[in-house]
Amino acid sequence: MAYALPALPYDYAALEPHVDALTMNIHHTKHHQTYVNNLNAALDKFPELKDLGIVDINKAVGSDTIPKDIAVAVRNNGGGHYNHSFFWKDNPLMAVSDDKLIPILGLDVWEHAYYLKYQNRRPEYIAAFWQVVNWEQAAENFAAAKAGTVPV
Amino acid sequence: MATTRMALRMALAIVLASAASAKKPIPRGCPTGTPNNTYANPALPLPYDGYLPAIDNETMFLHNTRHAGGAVNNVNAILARYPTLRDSVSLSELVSRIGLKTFDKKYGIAANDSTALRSNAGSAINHALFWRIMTTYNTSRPADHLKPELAGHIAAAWGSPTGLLDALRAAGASVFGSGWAWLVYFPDAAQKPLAIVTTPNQDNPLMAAHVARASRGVPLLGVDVWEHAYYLRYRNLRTTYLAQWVSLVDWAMVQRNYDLAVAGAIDSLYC
Repeated sequence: MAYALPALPYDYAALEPHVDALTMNIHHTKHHQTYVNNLNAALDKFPELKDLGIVDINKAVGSDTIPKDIAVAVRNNGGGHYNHSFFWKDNPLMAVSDDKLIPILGLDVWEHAYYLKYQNRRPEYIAAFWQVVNWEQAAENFAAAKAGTVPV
Repeated sequence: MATTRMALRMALAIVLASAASAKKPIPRGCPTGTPNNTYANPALPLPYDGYLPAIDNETMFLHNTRHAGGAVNNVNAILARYPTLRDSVSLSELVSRIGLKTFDKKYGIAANDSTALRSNAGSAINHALFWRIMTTYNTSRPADHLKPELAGHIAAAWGSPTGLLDALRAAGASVFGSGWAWLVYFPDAAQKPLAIVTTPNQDNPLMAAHVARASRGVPLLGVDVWEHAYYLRYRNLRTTYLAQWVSLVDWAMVQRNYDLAVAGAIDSLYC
């Protein structure tokens, strides 16, 4: 089954004034969508990998499960897809990661995540981020991680 | 007798001391010229709105004053703690050698400062070149400025200046995340002295410690593909930005940079 863009759990304007609606819209419908599209395109020749699921395909990055010629594309786009799916809710999964840990909370610091409203002022964006953190989700993620399962 | 000898010795000591304290001009290159051997943030050659329609004035303002300016401030703050390094080594030499064990050890550069200089001196030098190689949209024609030797190398590698720009655009589009695409000159490759390379983050092709040998060379032309370079106007559409940006290339500067690179005058690239 092809990977798909998850719907946001809230309106694009729901995080105003901390994160502006336009950024949320572009971030979701353009950046995240592109990762999904590119991931599916990379896997067209290996359809069975489309059934792995987003967690397992990320865990497989760096291993022999992913054919060499699509390894970079899967890392970048599989990673982008997972990280953003996670970020909306509130990638340490990968085999290439030095610390194989389970993410509980994530903050996107790519410039696209904050530039329209904050320009170069990343610390201000980070301060605002604390106003929109979904602590219930973080607690659920923590409980899942303690039980050894990966939140998605 | 004793007082005369002492007076002579004192006079000699004074002469020697003043000779030592007279500051030897260091090959600082540009940006340069402020007191205490600090770097200045180079201003744009054009007004902020002078890059329309390719790049909007707000982006040029933020890019020049906050991003590049911030990096220059950071370089100065770090170098204030390494006065010998600051006073002996030009910006391009610093960028070329930062992170090499011998270099960091020679100047006693702490690991975290070496990393910070990689990012901030890299940013300073990258942007200094970037401002210099752009001019008013659609006013610079390669045929008016490229001399036969350079034009010949470009033709051999990419067919034409347009082919070169197409390849540079593709390279810029291929960078995942933040980085740059460059036209570089290889001093040791007589047959194929030009290539297009990309670097991540604020790495510069001069960086011996951080750039693969095959990509290491003197940058003649570069394009910034960090999101801050295009996001306000183009959002996620980096390829559209690149398609517009190519019309800003100042071919006179490309020729000038090539001549300087061939002559080994790297510092002058940034003046």
